[in-house]
Amino acid sequence: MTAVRYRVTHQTRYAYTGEVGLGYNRAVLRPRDTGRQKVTAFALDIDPAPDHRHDHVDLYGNTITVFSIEQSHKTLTVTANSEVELPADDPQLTLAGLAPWEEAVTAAAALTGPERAFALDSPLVGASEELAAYARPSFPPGRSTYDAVGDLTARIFEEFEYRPGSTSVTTPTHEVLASRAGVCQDFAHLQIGCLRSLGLAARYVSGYLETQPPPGQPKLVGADASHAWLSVLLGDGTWLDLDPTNGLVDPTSHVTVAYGRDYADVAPLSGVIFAGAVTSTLSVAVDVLRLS
Amino acid sequence: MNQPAGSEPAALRTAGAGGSNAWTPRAGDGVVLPTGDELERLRTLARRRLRSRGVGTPDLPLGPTRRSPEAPGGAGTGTRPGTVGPGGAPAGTSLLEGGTERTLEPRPVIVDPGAWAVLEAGVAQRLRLLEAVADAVYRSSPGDRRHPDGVVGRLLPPEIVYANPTFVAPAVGWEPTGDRRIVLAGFDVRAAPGGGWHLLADHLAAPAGLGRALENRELTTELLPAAYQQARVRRQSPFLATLRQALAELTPPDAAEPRVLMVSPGRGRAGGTDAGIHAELGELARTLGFTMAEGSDLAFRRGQVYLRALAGLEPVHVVFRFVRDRLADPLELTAWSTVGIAGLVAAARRGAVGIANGLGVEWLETPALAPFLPALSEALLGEELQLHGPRTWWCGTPEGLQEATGRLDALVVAPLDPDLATIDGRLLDAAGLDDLRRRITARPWRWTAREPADEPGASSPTLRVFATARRDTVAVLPGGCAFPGPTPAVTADVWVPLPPGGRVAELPLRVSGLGQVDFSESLPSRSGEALFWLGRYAEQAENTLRLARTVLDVVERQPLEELTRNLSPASGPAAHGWLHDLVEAVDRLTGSTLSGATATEAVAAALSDEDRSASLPRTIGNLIATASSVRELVSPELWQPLERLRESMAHLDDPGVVDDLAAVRDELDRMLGSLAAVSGVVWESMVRGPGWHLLDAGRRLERAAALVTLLDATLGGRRPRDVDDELLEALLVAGVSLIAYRRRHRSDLELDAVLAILVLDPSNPRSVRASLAALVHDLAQLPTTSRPGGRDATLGRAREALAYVDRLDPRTLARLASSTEREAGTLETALGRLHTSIEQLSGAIGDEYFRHVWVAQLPTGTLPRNGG
Repeated sequence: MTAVRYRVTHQTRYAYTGEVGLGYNRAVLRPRDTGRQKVTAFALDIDPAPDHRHDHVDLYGNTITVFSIEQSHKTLTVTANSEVELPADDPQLTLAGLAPWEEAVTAAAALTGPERAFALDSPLVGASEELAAYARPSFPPGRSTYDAVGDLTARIFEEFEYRPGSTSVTTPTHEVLASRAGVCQDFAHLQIGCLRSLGLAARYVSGYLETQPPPGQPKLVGADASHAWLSVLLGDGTWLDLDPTNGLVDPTSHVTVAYGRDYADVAPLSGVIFAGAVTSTLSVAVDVLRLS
Repeated sequence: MNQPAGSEPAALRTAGAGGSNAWTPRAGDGVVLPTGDELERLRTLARRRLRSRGVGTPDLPLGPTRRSPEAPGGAGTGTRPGTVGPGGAPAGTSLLEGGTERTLEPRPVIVDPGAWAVLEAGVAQRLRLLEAVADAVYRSSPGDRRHPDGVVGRLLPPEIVYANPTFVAPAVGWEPTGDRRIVLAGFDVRAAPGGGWHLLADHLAAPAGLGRALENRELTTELLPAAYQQARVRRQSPFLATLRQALAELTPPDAAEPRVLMVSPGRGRAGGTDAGIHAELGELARTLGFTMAEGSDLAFRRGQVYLRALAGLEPVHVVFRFVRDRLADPLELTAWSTVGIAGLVAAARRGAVGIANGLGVEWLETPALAPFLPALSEALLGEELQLHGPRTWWCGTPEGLQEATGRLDALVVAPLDPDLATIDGRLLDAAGLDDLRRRITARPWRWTAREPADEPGASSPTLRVFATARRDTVAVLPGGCAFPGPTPAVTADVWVPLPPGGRVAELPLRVSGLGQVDFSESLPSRSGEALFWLGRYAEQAENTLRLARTVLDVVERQPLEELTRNLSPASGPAAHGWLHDLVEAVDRLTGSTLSGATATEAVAAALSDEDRSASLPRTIGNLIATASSVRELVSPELWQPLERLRESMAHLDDPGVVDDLAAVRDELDRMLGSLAAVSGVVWESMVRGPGWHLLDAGRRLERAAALVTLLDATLGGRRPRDVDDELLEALLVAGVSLIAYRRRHRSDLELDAVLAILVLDPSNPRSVRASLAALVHDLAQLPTTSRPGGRDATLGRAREALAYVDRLDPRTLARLASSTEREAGTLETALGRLHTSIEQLSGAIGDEYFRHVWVAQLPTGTLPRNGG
């Protein structure tokens, strides 16, 4: 089994209209090790240099960096440089994936740890009858989990328009459902809501796509920004990735950064500043290079 | 997991029917409690006492509002930047709860020592149990060594923990200092009809009511001294000592001089707790001897938590917080919270600060926990649960769901999110019940159903009792806070008599760990700012009252045609118009640019118009509100004159008073008397620390500014020969300097002599010169800050202004303005210069000591999306 190595550069920059005296931030930018993915190098550069900085692991196993800048500053630049390895093999079908989707519901109800929250309402995604109704055609009784979730993923990919600027960080799923438009974060939230409404457990995944696809393959949507997709719990307790923005089931070259109940748990950068009346401009750049 | 079929209050049922209610006053022991007229008299007295402590009274309108740091609070009609909401919105001064005035029911609830012993043991066990549950959930869920099977999932459904909006995920996986999360807990209990006790609610995140319990005890013993003695009531002080000890035990190991800070959600900002909590926390802070601050007074720097104090950052080791979990840290919990401390979780995670109560205990308040507590108690404590609540079912189990939906019309249903309303099924019609049943069935894990706690016949009052836990001890406050009526605004003291043979003298335990450290020089910047403005508002009120009274005197004395002539604007040498100018001074000092049509109308507006930024009601309202915000720092005696001021303000509005000039003047005199009492209390009963000097500095600055404004409005632009004696006399009266003048000069009023006494005289405490000298003295006593230039720059400015006044000469001043070219040292130039100096000084003091109060907390910026 050969491995493919990727180098990711993710830069987030805030420019302020005035001096900011104090800034506190929480960064969720370190890719995590998963069953498939291995992180071989990581560096988080913060400018200006933070006066305090501390990493911890959250409830779901993500590495969080909390830092404070206690000197006056007019820009904040946070650059995450990561190298990860992913196996080059094709996705493997599992027995759990082939089992009826009802078994995945049973598995979701049997979760006893913090993962149980992936099956329930979270700050940005709640179950609803509307979402269940949208999802139900893909979930006839006894259908295999692969086929059911794959069908739902494909429907969202086909029926929803990728339209940057049409939604915000906090756009609720029912609005996305009504407008049939959004970006990856919205589609991930929408599908998570659909799955939770049927009793399945689904978690939000933040990460990256390859910026330049291998020769002969199309460039994927969302490759120039940080990306978001989701995982669904299968009957055997393993998780299966779904990317509704690109209509992919079990994508093999996505670089995973963090899991959470929804975006709010794993926002790449969030925090507060103490300042007079200032406004800020945000710019984000993501570059994902295949090294081998 | 098997959910028990409702938590059966076995202990209560077996306690024997027909037993006397535990709370019955024990008249047989010779304790005589008041009834009838005597009780009514005591109720009135209690209300008055509470009002004269500044609690329980309705608010006066609050003054205007925020000024940006670029435009610091000006001199003249100064209003305080920040903290006071626009339009007087917050209902802060008082402990108004649900719009009802907070009062004390003088009859205490007396609990039989035997029944108390049962309650005490049950409450203590409950605190230990909740601590054990919190520990099991937060210590680290996977692979917990102490509870290898995991508590969540085995004894506790994961839904009520991990899907609970009050669960604090960032609190998982690290251990709090002192290895303890619950230090102070409040429990609502009620005597069960058949004997024993019913547990109604747990208060863990911001347990309110202890301050009230202390205050109620103080007042009740004042009102019922004989009954208190007869009842041999157990004291509160040993409990407070244990509480202080428990807090001290949270100190991080390397702190040399541990400091505990109380953190309030602030005045008028509910933060999910009682709006009135700030006032009672002030009471508690004063009793415990801790500094009280608000979240934004604390800062996370270099990995530690600091208090933003006058002299700079001071380390804080234990945060005794009354801010709800989710609001405690805008960085890691809720970004929009402005009552928290950014970085608090990070500091606690690395063990740099102790927090009481620990972050993450709030979810334990959920009623959904009740059905699981008996099994948790067996598993975690090895004990049978002693205290039970009403029978409760969590709907997340099939049995619970069936029970709840089967008889919804007899149950009370609570959602998991405490911010959502509890629904009383008994009040719903058939359609409402169907709808609720549907909502519960759709997501049963969100709902908890319980038997109503107000079953018929349960007429005993709810008691809030308090427990504190330290290393190996739980102490329960003998007594607490009783709610005898339907509203939480009415509370009563709770008396627990000593058991027969018990000794009254329960000596408080000595608190080790909190050494004798002198914090008298330490003052949160915000409190310093409030005291500075307390001084300014008091002086502002005095100035307005004096000038208003002066104008009214003049109006009464003047013949009508004189009055008309004097009121018209000065135009040419013949028209004096000085009364017009005096009225303009009234307008300028009360923040209006519109002159009233007549002198009395202008004065009436100054005394009553709440739209004027510095009108009397606004100033008095600000004065009382500001004093309330620093309750723990001012003498309790201050509240009596403040309450009289409030009464006078209300009296001025009486229809009978408004139109009766003599009655208005009487009331103004009374208010001046009350303000003199305020000054007296400040002068005689306040320690001369940085707080006092700031208060005095505010007063002196305001006095100088007001006099400059008065002289500018009346003498500015006037020629010496146009200055009436009557105007000079009015100026001396308004400046409280007439008697000084007469004693010194025994002559007619001469302009230069009048100006000398008002502006230059160092021995006249009302003069500009004396005010600036006092200001210089006050500033010199304040701590030096680390700001560039620091205190000395501000002090230098004040000294410069003083030196300038010293160079002035009365004869040159009395030339007022030279008609042709500007001349140094005439009144007009001097007033202009002084006005600028005072404005700058006000700004400099603010920049030096209160700057962070003006700084806003904003998001880092637009959240970067996962935009792909």
